[in-house]
Order: sequence, then C-alpha cells, then structure tokens
Amino acid sequence: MSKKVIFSTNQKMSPGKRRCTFCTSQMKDIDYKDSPTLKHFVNGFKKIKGRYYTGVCLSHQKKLSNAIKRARHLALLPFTI
Amino acid sequence: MAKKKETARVIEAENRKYELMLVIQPELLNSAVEKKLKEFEAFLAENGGSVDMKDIWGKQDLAYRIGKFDQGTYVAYNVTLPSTFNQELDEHLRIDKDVIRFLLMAISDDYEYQTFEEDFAPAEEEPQAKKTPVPSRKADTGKKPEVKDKGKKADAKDLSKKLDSILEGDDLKV
Repeated sequence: MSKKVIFSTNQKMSPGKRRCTFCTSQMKDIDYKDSPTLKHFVNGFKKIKGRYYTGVCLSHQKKLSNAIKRARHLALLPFTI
Repeated sequence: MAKKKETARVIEAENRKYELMLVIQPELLNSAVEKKLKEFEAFLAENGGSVDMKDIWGKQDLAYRIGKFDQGTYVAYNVTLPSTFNQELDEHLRIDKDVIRFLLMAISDDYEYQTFEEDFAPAEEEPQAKKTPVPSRKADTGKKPEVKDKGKKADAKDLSKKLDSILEGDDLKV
C-alpha cells in the first residue's frame, strides 16, 4: 500500500456524507495477510467492530469479517486479550 | 434414492488456483525447513500440482500460543492443484506434526499476491519528528528571553542615554 488510508469512524458524519472507507480508497481486495489494516476494525477486546461504528458498507463488512477470521486462524490476529 | 446415487455426476478434475499458507514450528532450523518444503513441493508435484509462487516470511511471533509454541515460520504458496486433491492435502497437512496451522484458500485467476508490512518506518519517524520540535521549542524558549532581554537592554540603554542627554541638556538649559 503506497497510499496511506485513514480509517476513521464516520459515526459523527451526517448520513449523506457517510462513506465506506474501502469504497473510497479503491482497495482491490481485503486480504487476510493485511493485519495492519485489519487492526483498525477490531475492538479493544479484539472483537470485530460493528458497521455502526466504522461506517463500512455491507458487502465490504462481510469480506472484512471473513478476512479477520482467517487471520485469527493463522495467529496473525488474536481472538481475545 | 439408490438409483440417483448410482447416477451421481462424476467430478472431473479441473486445475484451480489456490493460496496455501503454512505455519511451521519454530524449533526447526532453516536448513530443515527448506528440506521439508522441498519434500512438500515434491508431494504436490506427484499429485499433479505446480507451484507458481513461494514466499517465506521467516520467524514471527504468534498472536496467541499454539500448543507449546510462541513463534512460527510463515510460508505462503500460490499453487495450481487439481480440484479433487483437496481432502488428501488436508489430511497430509493435518497429520504432519511440524505444521502447526495451515490455510488453503481458492483464489481467482487474476489474483495478485501482495505483501503487507506494518509501517514501522513512520513509527520511527514520528518520535524523531516529535524529538526535533522539542529541542527547537527549548531553543526557542532559550532564545526568546535572550532576544527579549537584548531588546530590553538595548532599549533600556538607548532610553537611559537619551534620558541622560535630554536631562543633561535640558536641565542645564532649564
């Protein structure tokens, strides 16, 4: 990733301006090896954050959760603390 | 039902692309790991597979303990395998004691392998960036009073001189 993507929570944005970060950043795939970006979508207790907090669209959220679960299986991300 | 089972469709072996990720136990030496991978590739080749890409990440810390290991050597493969070979490969890897974890994943034809590194470089830069302003601030704080003092002194001197000259001149005149 040459471009730096800022993963901000869009929660405070007004509903019209709220955009999915993956749609706007033009990432091809959400890869399970990409643990630095996956870390942004994980809770303090290492649980997957809801769409309500991150503003990710539904199709990307499904891919994201799949990637996080794969990363957990390979011990790239923890299940819990 | 039995008749239907008899006439079940025969699955033809198609070549598909897969991504395979292995986590090998950390106590093996590098030479032993290479030997093991060579054997594994030979096993793939026997069953009609071919290795497109191979990437050894090296030893890494695991996010949690697996068995008695805290570390593991990660190896990533991009392979084309016959689609009927999955179960056999799964069994082969499950039985193998040196492989802690593995993940076999079907990928699309236009898949590009990418490596992701945690941005350590910016993390290193940030403290430098943080460090640099601190001395500058200190320097500023050090310089500013001096400058102020100088200015004040200069002003005071000038003022005193002017005052003296004025006082001397005016007093004498008045």
